[in-house]
Amino acid sequence: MGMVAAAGLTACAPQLDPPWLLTQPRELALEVEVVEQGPYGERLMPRPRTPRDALPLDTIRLRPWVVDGAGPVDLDSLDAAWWMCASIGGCLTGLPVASRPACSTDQFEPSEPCRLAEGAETTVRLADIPAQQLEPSSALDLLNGITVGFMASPEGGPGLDTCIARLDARQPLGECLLMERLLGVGPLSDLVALIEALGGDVGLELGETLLARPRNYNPAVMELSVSYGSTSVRVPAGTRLSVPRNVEVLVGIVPDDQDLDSYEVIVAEQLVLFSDDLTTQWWFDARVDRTDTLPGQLTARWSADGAVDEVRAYVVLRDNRGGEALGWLDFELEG
Amino acid sequence: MLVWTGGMLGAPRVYAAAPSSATAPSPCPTDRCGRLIGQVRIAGQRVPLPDAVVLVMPAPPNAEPGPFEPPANLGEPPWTLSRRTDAEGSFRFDDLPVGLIRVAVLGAGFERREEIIGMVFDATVQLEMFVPPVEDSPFRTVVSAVPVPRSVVTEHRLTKEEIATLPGSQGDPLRALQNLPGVARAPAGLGLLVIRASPPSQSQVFMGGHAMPRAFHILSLASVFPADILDRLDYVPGNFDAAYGNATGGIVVVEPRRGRRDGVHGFGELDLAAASAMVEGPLGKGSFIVGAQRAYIDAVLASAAAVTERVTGEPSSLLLPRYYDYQALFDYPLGRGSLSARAFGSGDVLRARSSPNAAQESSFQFRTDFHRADLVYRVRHHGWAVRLTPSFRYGINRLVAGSDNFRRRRRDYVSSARAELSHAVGPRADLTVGTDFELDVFSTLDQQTDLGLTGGDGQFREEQMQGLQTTLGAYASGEIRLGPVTIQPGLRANAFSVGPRRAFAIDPRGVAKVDLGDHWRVSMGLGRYSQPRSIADSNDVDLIDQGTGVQGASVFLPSAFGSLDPAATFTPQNTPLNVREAVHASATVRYQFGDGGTAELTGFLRNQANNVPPTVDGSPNPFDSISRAMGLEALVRRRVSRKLYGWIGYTLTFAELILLQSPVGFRYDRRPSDYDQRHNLVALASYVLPKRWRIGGRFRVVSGLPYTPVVGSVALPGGFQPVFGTRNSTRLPLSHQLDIRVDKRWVRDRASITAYLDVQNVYNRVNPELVLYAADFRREAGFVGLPIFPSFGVRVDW
Repeated sequence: MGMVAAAGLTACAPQLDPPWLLTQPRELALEVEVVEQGPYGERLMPRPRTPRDALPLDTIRLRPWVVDGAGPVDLDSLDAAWWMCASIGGCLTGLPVASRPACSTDQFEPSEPCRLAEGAETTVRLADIPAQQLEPSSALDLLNGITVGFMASPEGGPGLDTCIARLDARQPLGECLLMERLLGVGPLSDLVALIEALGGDVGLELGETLLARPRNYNPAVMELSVSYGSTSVRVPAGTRLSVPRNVEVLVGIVPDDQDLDSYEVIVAEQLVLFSDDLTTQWWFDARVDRTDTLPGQLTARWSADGAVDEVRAYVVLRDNRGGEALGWLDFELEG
Repeated sequence: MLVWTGGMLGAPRVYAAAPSSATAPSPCPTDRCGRLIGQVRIAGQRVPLPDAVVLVMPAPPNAEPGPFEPPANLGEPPWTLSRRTDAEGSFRFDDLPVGLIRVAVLGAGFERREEIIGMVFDATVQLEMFVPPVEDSPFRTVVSAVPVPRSVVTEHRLTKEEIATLPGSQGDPLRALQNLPGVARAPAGLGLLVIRASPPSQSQVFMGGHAMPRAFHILSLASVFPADILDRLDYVPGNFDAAYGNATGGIVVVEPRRGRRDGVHGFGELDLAAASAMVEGPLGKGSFIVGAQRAYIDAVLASAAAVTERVTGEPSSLLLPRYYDYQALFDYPLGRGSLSARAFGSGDVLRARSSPNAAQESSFQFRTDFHRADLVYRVRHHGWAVRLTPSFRYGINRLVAGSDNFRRRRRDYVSSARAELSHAVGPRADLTVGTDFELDVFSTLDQQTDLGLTGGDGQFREEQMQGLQTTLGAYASGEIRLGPVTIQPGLRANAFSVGPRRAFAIDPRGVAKVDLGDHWRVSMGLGRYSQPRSIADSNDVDLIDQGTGVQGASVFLPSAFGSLDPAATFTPQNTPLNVREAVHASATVRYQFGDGGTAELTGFLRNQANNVPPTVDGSPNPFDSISRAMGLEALVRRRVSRKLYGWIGYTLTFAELILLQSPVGFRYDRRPSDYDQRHNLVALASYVLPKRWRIGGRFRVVSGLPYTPVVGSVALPGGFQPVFGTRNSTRLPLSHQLDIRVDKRWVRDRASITAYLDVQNVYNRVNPELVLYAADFRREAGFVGLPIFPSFGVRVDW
């Protein structure tokens, strides 16, 4: 009866915009980059990709990607702020936001949620590790990383203070934008060494696989492949190209080795290669016909009929350690 | 000679019996005669029909052997012989002429039947004739033992006819109760007993004096017992008698019936979800009933999934429900009393069906079974009414999940008994004392394989526990009749234990009734009701996760849906055993119409301390609360004739939960309870049409249940996390729907066939059951409800 009812319920569901259709401002990704290294850890060498994992006293830049139907939103038009918490998933929705104090400059991981910074794009110098965070339970929390929460009101919206008040009162948030991301901490080997050098105790034995894992770098959307019919091309991100109507178009990410952060570890006397897992999330600013069914793949299949003349396809490329990047292609429909 | 008036063929005829024609001259003029012996039975039931008139006369010219319908212009026969059937429905005619004769059977309340048969010289012809009743009710009245009077303020009883023919209930006895005041409409119209806004677990169903471990099968699709075994079904929404404990909501008291002794009978029934059958009949001086039901909706869903996979090429996995139940009852007179032996059982399984293309077969299975055997001895002796009923129940709950990494099992061996004595104390008073207890010896097994997070192998853990859980009650209730005033005081003492943990409760209860003339009665009740809080660890299936995706949207369910989720209890936790304590107060004004119909208005209040145990450090629990419900119930119930019954019921309810430990000034210390269904109006009627058609309709208007809104969301990597508003701060919109049921019965000689069509939501209104949000939870996209839903079934009775 329940399954029959579920089938019946489906039949009665009202028509909704598909979840990948961009019609209003939406927080697609957060770019985190270590812009200035602190005193800890192996010195960073210039690389094609930007470092994401941070250590205490590193300076990071937080850049959210907010996109609406007209394209990426000017970050200066957002009335925004940042918070820092110990864990993801309740950073903004746990204790009331309005009464949170400013984050301490001497506590790498906050003991309670705190207000980190103002403005949409911001640069923050992470605090050092205090003595109380050298205990095994706290040290373990450090290894899991710290969380940042982002809240903003778009231009013409209710304003940040109103968004905060609505969130605390659990009233409809309307246009308010909320996002949380985990800030990667690492490399783990450098963090463990730092904790132990300061007299702390991690409290558990980390496997060699984790200790050998290097600092995570952000992937980048550099090149995309586009195929339709017998045509197949590779183009840089941001390119504008023409495709025919009513023909299935396959667009995909072309990752390179720099996106995979590969490293080798000896496991049970065998040399094993580890790489990041890459996934994508696709968005479109026009109603196209999506035919791909499995989420997370590096490709998207779509076609457009006569109602659409132009469409922009956005892609967020993620690795499995929090690294994110945004790119897009513009399509003109012909025929 | 017989005299009868004219009339249409088959219509009842008024006739005056003449002296037996045994004294009339034989129509057989020569010695070429034959004999006719036969039996008359009621069509569809095969029960003999005594005292029916059997006429024999010459067959008309050109008549053929077989059933005969006399034409209107048929003349007077030259001769007629008549007999009356005896107690066995038998008749005999000697000396009938050879050749074709015409035999007619007439009985008061039965259709006339005629047959042309051929007589043979010096031979005996045997004839069996079946006569259908003219205006029949397939629902027999069984005279049951006089029940012990119970103190109640208001009590409703459903007849078997009502249970079987109410639109929208598919003949289910407990779902039929949702048409009465005080019982909420369950989510999705499924089976839940929400009595005066109490969660289902706080009400009890008693079968034969013992509490049922659960009332409904999995997903609340059907009750665990069929209506066909019932003698009585009484629903008491509050202020129930001291004989019943371990409940703070309402109770339903069900008494099984005895089997028929007028022959072996039975039925078989098929509908969309299940097949059922029953056989009953005499056994020595007693009788038996054996029945069973088995659902096959799992097979239907699995076939649908397989077809979908072939068509779409996409794998599909789903949960398949399956259930069965059985009943075996035996009754035997024993001296001045009677002895009954009963066996009941029920099994429910929910298992995952994996696509044949799935890389790994899902091992998820949820199973809960119980099997129970009762003995009941009743006797009246020197003014004492005695009832003794021991019982034994075996129950098992089993859960396998997480690719077989997680297994739980609990077995219960429950011995229970009820002993009750009733006696008159003078001409104006009665006293009933009794005791009931349950001893539950349980064992639990938990097995889990931990998945290594640090590169090691998964570690297997196993924990076993055995223990004893008891419920003991001792009660006394009386009735004092002082003219128009009747006072019914009662007292119940309860003791509960789980292992070494103990809890006690004393429940005083009382009801007063005042008869104001022949038609009016006012009843009032006040009492305390206790139920221990469950401390057993519970697993539910989470059948529909909050936020489940449906066509690009996200579904959120009101909290009341949680009661539909299959759940089972396993290992008791190391927490104090506390008792919920409720005070019931109610008053009813009742008017009895001359034709037996009633109109009543009830006001009720239930104030319940939930007594949530303190936290581990001993401080008051922040979730400790009081549940409060109050309201009005109105019911006008009439049976206009044998053909028409109906009622209008209305319930107004205010139910809330009050947190006791919230900080001063905390704005959300009171909230509507999950079952706060403000208005519930039901109007229904069922009418018997000619030619054994019946039509019934039900119109219902119901307020929406409270739900917790999603006010926005937080974007996380790859998805959105909903932000919830204040608990139960919003309400689903009002619902209304019309359900219609049509029954048609065909009566054949040895059996009758009934087919029904039950259409729910005839005008296809989308009554909100679920809240739909956009996939990012940033917009409420609308509500979703069940569409028009027809179901049908066929039943053969014999």
